[in-house]
Amino acid sequence: MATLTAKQANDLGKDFLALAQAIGDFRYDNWNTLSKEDNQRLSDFQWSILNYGEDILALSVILVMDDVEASLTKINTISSKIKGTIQVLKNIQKGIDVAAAIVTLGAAIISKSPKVIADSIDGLVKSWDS
Amino acid sequence: MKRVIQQNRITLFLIIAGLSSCVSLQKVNDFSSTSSKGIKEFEEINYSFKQHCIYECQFDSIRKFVINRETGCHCDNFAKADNVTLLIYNAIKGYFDGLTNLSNKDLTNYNFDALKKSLTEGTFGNIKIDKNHVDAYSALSKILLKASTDIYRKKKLIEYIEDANAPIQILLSEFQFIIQNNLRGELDFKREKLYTYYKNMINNNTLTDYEKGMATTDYYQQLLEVTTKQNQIDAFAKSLKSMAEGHQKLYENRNKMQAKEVKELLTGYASDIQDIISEFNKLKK
Repeated sequence: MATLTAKQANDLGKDFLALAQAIGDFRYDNWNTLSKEDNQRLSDFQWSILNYGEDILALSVILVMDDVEASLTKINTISSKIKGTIQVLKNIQKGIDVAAAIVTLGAAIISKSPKVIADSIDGLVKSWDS
Repeated sequence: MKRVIQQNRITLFLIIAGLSSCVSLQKVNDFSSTSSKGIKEFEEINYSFKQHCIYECQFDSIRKFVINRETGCHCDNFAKADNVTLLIYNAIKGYFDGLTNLSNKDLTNYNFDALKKSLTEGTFGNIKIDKNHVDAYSALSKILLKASTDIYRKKKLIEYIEDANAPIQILLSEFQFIIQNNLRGELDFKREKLYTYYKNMINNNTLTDYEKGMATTDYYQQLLEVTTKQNQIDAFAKSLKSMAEGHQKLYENRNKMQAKEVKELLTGYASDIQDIISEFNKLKK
């Protein structure tokens, strides 16, 4: 059996709405001639059709998933790649900061000051971890 | 001397390339950031399939004067419909956010201050580093680095726009279908149920004229709320169409993004989306 597409389900939902409207118009046009029981029966019928129509529209959305699954995977993969590229570009700043910390450490070693060397190592570790 | 001229030419070429790529990056950024802002208006619609189901289920109890301890609403399919909608929404949003961030001019504005400071303040034995030289080299490095990284990200942007066009067109079109045909369609049912409920009430002839007047006022008030929501949905769906068209143009012209017409086109789409966002925001008030 062929499966319903999202578009077909949506069309069907709209048909249900039109059908319920037609039943409603019939009831109001014949309000005074319809028996109370018949009017009630038609009203219940009309309300059920409206409820089914709403369900069918929700089903139409679920069926969209069949059509978008591959596109969703592709876009999410591309978005991850974009994030990766942004990270690469951000890492350049990290590289510059690490270079600055290495230069500071070099100067500290030349100055032979243990305190300055310790501080510079600390600075290098911090810029590496940032 | 010849070598210096040659080096200067290369530097100049890189700077020009960098500056010109900035212009196109800016246009891509304008378009993608406006699209990103536009897609997020979906959250402002503030209406979901599940919400609709719960409202209608409660309305059914109200019209029948049924009072239960629990509402007993079965909204599983409506919740699933929301999940599908959110999956698509998040994918589109993630993509435009990514394009916006990647084309942002600040991404490659690198800061050399720490390096400058360490070079000028450090004591390197007998070597003395002149502050002016450090400033000059740092400025040049900054320009060269920006130029080369901008060329790199332009290349990457072209690659991503190329790969993303087909899937993003499908997602934008299906998202528009869901919002404009299904979510808006649910509101058509709400409209019809309100009509039936109030029409029955008036036709039953059990109300006084005053009560009939009150019921009529209630009906039109609720109808107005539905209409406003549907107008919001229409405005939002229109912006999705502009995003799809803008991205298609971006894709078709991905290799000539410097062209004046392309820049104008992208500006046009960004401005269309912006206009629709303003229209949408007016409806929220």
